[in-house]
Amino acid sequence: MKRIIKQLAGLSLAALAVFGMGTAAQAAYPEKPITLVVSFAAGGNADVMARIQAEAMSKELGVPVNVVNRPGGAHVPATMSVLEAPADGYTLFNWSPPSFMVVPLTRATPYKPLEDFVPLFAGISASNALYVRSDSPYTTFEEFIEGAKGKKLKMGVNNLGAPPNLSAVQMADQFGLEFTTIALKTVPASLNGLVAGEVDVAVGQVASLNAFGDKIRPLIILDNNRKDFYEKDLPGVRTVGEAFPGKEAGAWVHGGFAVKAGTPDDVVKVLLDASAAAMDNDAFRASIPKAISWYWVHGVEDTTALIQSGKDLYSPILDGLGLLHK
Amino acid sequence: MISQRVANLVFAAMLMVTLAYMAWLASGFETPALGGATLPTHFFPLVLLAFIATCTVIYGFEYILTGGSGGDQGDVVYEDWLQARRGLFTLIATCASFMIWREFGFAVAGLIATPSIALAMGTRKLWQFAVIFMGAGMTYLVFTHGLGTQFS
Amino acid sequence: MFDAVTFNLALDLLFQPLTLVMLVTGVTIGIVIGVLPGLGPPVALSLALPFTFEMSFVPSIVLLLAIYSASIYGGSISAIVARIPGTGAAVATAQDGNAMFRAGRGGEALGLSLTGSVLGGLFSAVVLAVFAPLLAKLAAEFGPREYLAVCVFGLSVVVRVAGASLWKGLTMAGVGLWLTTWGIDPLSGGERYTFGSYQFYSGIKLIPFLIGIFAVSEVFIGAERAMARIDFNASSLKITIPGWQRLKDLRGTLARSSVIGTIIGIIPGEGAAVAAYYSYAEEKRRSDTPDEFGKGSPLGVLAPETANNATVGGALLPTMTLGVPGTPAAAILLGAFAINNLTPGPMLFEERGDIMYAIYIGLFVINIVMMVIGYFAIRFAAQIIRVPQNIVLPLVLLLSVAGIYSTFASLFAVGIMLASGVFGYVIRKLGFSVAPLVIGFVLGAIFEDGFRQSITTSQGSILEFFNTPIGLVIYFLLFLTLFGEPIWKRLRRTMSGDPA
Repeated sequence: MKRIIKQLAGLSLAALAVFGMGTAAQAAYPEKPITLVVSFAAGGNADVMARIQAEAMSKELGVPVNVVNRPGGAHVPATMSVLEAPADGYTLFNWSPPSFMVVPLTRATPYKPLEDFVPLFAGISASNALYVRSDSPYTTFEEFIEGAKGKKLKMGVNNLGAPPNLSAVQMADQFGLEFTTIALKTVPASLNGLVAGEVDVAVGQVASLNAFGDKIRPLIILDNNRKDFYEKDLPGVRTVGEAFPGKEAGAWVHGGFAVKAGTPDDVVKVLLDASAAAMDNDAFRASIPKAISWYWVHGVEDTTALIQSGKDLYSPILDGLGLLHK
Repeated sequence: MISQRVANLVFAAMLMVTLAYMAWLASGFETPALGGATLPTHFFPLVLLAFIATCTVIYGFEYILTGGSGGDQGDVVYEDWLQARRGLFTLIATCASFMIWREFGFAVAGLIATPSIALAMGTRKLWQFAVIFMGAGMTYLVFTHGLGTQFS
Repeated sequence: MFDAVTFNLALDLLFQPLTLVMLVTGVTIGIVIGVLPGLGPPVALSLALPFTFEMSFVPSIVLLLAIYSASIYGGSISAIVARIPGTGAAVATAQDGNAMFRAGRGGEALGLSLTGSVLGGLFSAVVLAVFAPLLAKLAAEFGPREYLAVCVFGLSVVVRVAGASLWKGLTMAGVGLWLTTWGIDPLSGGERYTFGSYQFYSGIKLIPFLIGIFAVSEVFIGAERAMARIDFNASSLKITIPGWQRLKDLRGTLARSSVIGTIIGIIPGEGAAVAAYYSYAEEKRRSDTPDEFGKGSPLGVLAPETANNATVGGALLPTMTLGVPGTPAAAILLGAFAINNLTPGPMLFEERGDIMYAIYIGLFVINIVMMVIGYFAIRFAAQIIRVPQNIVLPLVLLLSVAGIYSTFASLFAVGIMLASGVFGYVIRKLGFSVAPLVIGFVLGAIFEDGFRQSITTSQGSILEFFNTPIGLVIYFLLFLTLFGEPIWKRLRRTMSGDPA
């Protein structure tokens, strides 16, 4: 009898302990600061947006969300640094087109975005437009195509493999043009290069016109479909899809947070709830800087679908250019 | 101990070997198509390696022909064995500590590193060890609690 | 152009309790972070950036600017006292500054570096305020070919700082340049020297490399004599701030270095270290006693320190007018603008002139405050020489490791630092000067980028390389610095009819 009582006591203690620890773990996340890894340099648009989001999440979660910048290396070191940390929800990754889309498609990476990560949401977005200087002879996109044929104009982009570059490459391919690409590191720098005459044409963002006023002229928006914010930033400018039905100008620029695959479901839920509460409201949207566009997608399934749509869009483009890594 | 002349010539020879190896690696660099760059990826590294090699040969000849470069004829690398020992042992202790950190984690490495580096430098007095330990402890605290660094 | 109403608005914005507290806090934090090796302006600014969410723009930007200016200055303290530059900006100060320190002129060196920093900072703040729109054009004109010209100019700097052996100096400059090719080639996406590890994709990072070359190698070298007592005269620790007469004598150096620093700051992308070395080289070139440089010349401390702080005002110029950061640290300042929904550009000056004025005045006040706080800091720092080296050095090593690990959260970065340290130790023992290595490394990425993109822009024609007014000016200056003196001497001799 004594033995049975002892065994029962032991079992119930064990059960209590496990149960207690379980609830303790559940109730405790987050109990220490969270790290957000950003694969861009500090100060740029992607970084600023990530910081604003980190700040909002931090208020919801009650712990600091610290941004760590790990730029360079085709975003691989930053991505891997998240995968090297434990899957406990204390390391978040700020994913973006390079890290989740272009780099895995164009080179062998030690990770697979949709297998190794659980994407939580997407927020930041951008759309690109083609710009020339205000004193350029090309006043319409059609004139530009005519004038650019047979010449190799200098095209300014920010970085190789980044969406502006891919949009430019796609456009060249669709319209039978050839360009010499000059990578000037950031979008403002490429537009500055345009104004200074270093390049003849540049890919900037739709919102870039705000900063450069009458020094540059938009020719066309490099997208198939019209998004809501186009009218606000570039009134009267057509998209490729509208002006040339049948020509492809798909662009995919999104970014958001993700955690390592294998993170416990309850932790993921806390993060999802916090992000929805923090960012899916008017006050937050009003705090987004003018130069940054916003396209909200929330939840693991929806965000995964969004990322998959990007892969579906870019794979054939990259394949056609011989850049798809097989 | 070890004249500058001998040491520099040995170093120059080792450098040339390294340069050759690096050039061999560079010739294998691939240039993906995305850039449309006019110059292949291996261009710059090879040009620079050639430049370094040229300069190395020139100063190597300076050492061979004149016994020195920049007026260090007759100089020595280490004044005496004690000096060499202190410098080199500190170097070895530091690198060993790093290896230990990689394999066994920060705590172990920290506990081994602090005394061994101080020892290598020639510290013998107990109070000095104590001060160093305290300084190390304070640094650790400031970084973990002040800056939120997580040493693993 | 000067608008009294806006000016008054700016004064109102600036002289608020919170803003002033941020100013003083920023200067203090900046100096401390500057002194610690491994932590520098970019780190300090990224750490401070989250705090700016809670505050409105003016206190935020004042905090960041204060940290920025003060940390550039702070690096010189450890450079002088321990020969270890606390930040990249102080690399050129370390040799002469520490030599003066060991020779018993530490107080003088510290006083000179503080004064130079403050005056350089003030100069560039004034230039920023008065010339912003004009100089913005200059910044906008900088393309690959102009950058290439600036980097080629760096060659002349290498020649001057190579120390006794020119060819050993050039060798190391080449090594520095070559080391920057490691990693993924940004212009083609190809992998270079990645040794099969993705850790190398981003190449060798500047800060771990610099701290390794300077701090870690210094620990190893210092270890050799760590037990030796340093004899010093206690009075040499007394801080001497140069008086009016001394300043008058030094005005040439101050002026030249301030201008060089401001201009380099304006050129987007170049950092304070470049300004420091360029002005150092210029002073050495002009000096009647060039051999003193490297052994403890006061000008070898004053010039780089003035120039590196002068980059602050210069860096703000393209940052605020074009949205293109003048220095890497200024990129973080851009973030502060964006967070507060301010878009840098000409519009900003027109719409929010009050904020712009507040920034100019703020910079001015920051430098004045730095003078005061700095004075107390260096009084304390000078005393460090009393601490035995075998206690200081292990702690320096520890701080460097902690700083690098904290900044990069990566054991790999620490590994790079230690490897650089071993390399630095070896070459220093062999009589190489580290300055060419560092300059090559700092300029390397810009040099390659400039060269390759110039080829693309000029579509292969070498002549096109020189088809740029700014570039031509720089090449001409380069020609002058390298060959000006000998040619001038020759001309004088022929003109005076000297048969020799």
